Amino acid sequence: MKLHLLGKLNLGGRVPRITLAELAIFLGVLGPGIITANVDNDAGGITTYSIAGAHFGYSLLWTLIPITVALFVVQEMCARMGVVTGKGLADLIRENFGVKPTVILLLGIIIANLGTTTAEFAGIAASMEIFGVSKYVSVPVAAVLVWLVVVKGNYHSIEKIFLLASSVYITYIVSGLLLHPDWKFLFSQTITPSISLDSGYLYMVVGVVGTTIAPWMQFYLQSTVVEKGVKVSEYKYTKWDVYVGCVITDVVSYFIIFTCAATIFAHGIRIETAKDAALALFPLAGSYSAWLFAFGLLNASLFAASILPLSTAYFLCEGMGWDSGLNKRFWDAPQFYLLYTLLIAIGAAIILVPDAPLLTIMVLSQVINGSLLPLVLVFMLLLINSKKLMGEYTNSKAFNAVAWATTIIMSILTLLLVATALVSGTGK
Amino acid sequence: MRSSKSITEKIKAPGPLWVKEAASNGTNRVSFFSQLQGKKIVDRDGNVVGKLTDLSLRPGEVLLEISRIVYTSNILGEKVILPMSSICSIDGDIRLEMARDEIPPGRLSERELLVTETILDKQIVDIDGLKVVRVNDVLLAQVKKSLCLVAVDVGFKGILRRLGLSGLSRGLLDKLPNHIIPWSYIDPLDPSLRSIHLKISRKTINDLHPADIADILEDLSNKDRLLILDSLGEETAAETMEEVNPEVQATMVKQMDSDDVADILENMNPDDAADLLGMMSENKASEVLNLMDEEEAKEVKELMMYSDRSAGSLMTTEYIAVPSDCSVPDIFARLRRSGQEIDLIYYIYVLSAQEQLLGVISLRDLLLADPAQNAGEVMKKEVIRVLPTSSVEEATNLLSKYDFLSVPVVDQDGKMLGIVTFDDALDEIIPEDLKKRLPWNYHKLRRVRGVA
Repeated sequence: MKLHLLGKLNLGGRVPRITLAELAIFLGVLGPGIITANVDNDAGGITTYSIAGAHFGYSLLWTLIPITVALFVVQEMCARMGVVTGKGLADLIRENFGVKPTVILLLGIIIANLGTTTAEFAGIAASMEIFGVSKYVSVPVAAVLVWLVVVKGNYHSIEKIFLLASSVYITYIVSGLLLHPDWKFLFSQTITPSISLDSGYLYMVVGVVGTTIAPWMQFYLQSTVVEKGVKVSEYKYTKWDVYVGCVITDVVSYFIIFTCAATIFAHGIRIETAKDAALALFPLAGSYSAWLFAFGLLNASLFAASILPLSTAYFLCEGMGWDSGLNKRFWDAPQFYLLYTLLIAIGAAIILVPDAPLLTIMVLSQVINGSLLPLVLVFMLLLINSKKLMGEYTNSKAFNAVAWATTIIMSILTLLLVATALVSGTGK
Repeated sequence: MRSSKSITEKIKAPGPLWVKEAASNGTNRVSFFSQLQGKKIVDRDGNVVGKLTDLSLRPGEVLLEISRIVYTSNILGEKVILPMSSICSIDGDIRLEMARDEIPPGRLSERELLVTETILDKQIVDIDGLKVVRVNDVLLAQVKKSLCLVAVDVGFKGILRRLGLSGLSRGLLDKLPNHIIPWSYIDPLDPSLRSIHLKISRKTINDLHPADIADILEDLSNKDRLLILDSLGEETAAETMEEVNPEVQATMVKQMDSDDVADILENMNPDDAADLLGMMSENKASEVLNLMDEEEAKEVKELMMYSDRSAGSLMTTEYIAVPSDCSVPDIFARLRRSGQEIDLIYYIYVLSAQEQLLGVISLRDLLLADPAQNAGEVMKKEVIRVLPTSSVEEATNLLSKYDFLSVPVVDQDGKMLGIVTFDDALDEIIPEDLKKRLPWNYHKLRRVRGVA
């Protein structure tokens, strides 16, 4: 039985008709794309967008459009490689480029992801402090919680929890909507890029775009698509999963920038962190909006504190050929779970150590991530264009042009971010 | 004792023997692919024509034979394929038999596979489809005149070697073990499959039985045998040696230092050690005996006095003995203490202070005995026994007739000398050619059922 959901709307027949059966398949494959894209808005991402909105108002909203495109181009290639080859990105890199690149990437990714995981625990500590909970309580509890979910769950239960976490990002949208946005004004701000040559503004553009794509995302997305076992025939639905994920993520980013722009920027307050932003919202936007903002930060940090170590563990095990995956029991994939455990333990511990050099750790992880990204993107393009691996699913010429352009622009912006991070990191 | 050892045996390379060997005759018969890759290709006139990039394999009966080399020419950078027959040496640089302008255009046949494409860096999957590890390097060895792929390296050292870090940290590297999976454990390559399949399960991968190492040794050239034996732990080396067939044993010890032989013999069962010594020249045997631990040497010497094919020559001096006033709990304590090192613990022999055999207690009797009793009360006094001069056939007949696992060897005065175990007796009477005829699923069965 075919039930045309949109058929009756009759919009000149241009809207693709979706049947119930297709909807069911879509809901079945949905997950990896949405989860990966959402984790892009982690503690670091939220901080960057909050500062962008708080310091530059609406003038950076336009960047979210190219960001969405770039995110989609890169993520789609990973998902496609995962579905067609049935292997993770680290698997493919090891098998096609050998030990050297694998080990270099592996070392870099372990350090960078450890740094980012630490940043997520810092986000947990900061957001829970808004709720009046000491970090010495919140961080250990969060670490144990995040560990238990992954160690005790299987792929499907964990994916459901992650999808739930993805849906909690709606708090940012609600938080923004409580401010009654002027849609007409926002729309015009979004489609007219306002480019200023002010160095602070350019620095922020580099920051916003540069944090969009990090190496861990590619590895995590492709590994989970593989673990989920999406078939080639279902690929068009996974593509939608990726697409929907990218759009949702950037809508969330949009509302974070908007919320901070409408309140903090309007009052000319300077902020340094996402916690500052949430605290500033209390008098400016009302406590509901502020609580939602803080809760969003907690959720995002918790979520990413689980995904980043997972992505690292997937990479290590694929690169070395050890068994990995959420469906395995602890001792069936010992290296996978031990690395996961270790990253969480170290990440959480660093936050609890008084006077830990947090800033240095963040700068280091940003520098490594930024330096690895061009390498990862180039590998991806070489792999996806390999007829032997991808068969008829290689990039089309047009897609390749967009993909190479994205790779080059993202690489330049990321390396610029590395440079600024190094300058400001050593300057302080 | 037949404890299982890791399949990813610790094969040290370049170990002492390797270095010794390479220094003595300039050949290097065992090498890793990573050590060959990038080597200069030199033609007959000494011109460097390129660098080795790959090797092609031709599936053979047991081992994969290297059929061709692939090198990148240093003029145009194109790939050139040459058959192994046009190579005269791979020690140091790779030397060709022909001059630069005589090199013919070569190509791979359909059945030939490239090492880098089909083996290196590929995923190894066990018999249940579970991922184990990736191939980090490939071990090649000269087997009967042709270069063959004998094992894959899955250890950390393989990675370091591939990274070109082996030269930087020789000292550290020597301490790390290589983790090697012999090719005999791997299913025939199927390029259409995306991974390399093991014949065994991941759970048992740490169970390469010394008997299997022995099988591999028997297929190799003598130099390679010694190289591998040298790299095993002392205990595994001894257990492996016990399992190697006697002719191969004899060839092997001929080329070994007396020191090394002594070390191995000390760890072997005394009866097997005695047999091995019996095959050596008198000079070497006495030299080896002098180098051995005094206690061990004495036991072995006593066993060597018995003539071939007598119960005395077949017996082992390792068994569990207790005095007659030993209480049941004390017997258990003794079993636990020495049971690890003794093959056969199913019979406990009760001896007098003068080592005279008084009786025997089976493990069953012991388990059912009242803890308040002592050995003298539990034991059975009627013990079937043989003299050291009795024939092997006689001992075997007794074992077979009474379904014993072992029979004690006792001298004229009733003094206990040792035991003949059923497995040693079985080895003695089964014709050699029959031993080679194993069931097709023998390896798997042995693992599943733990038959040692």
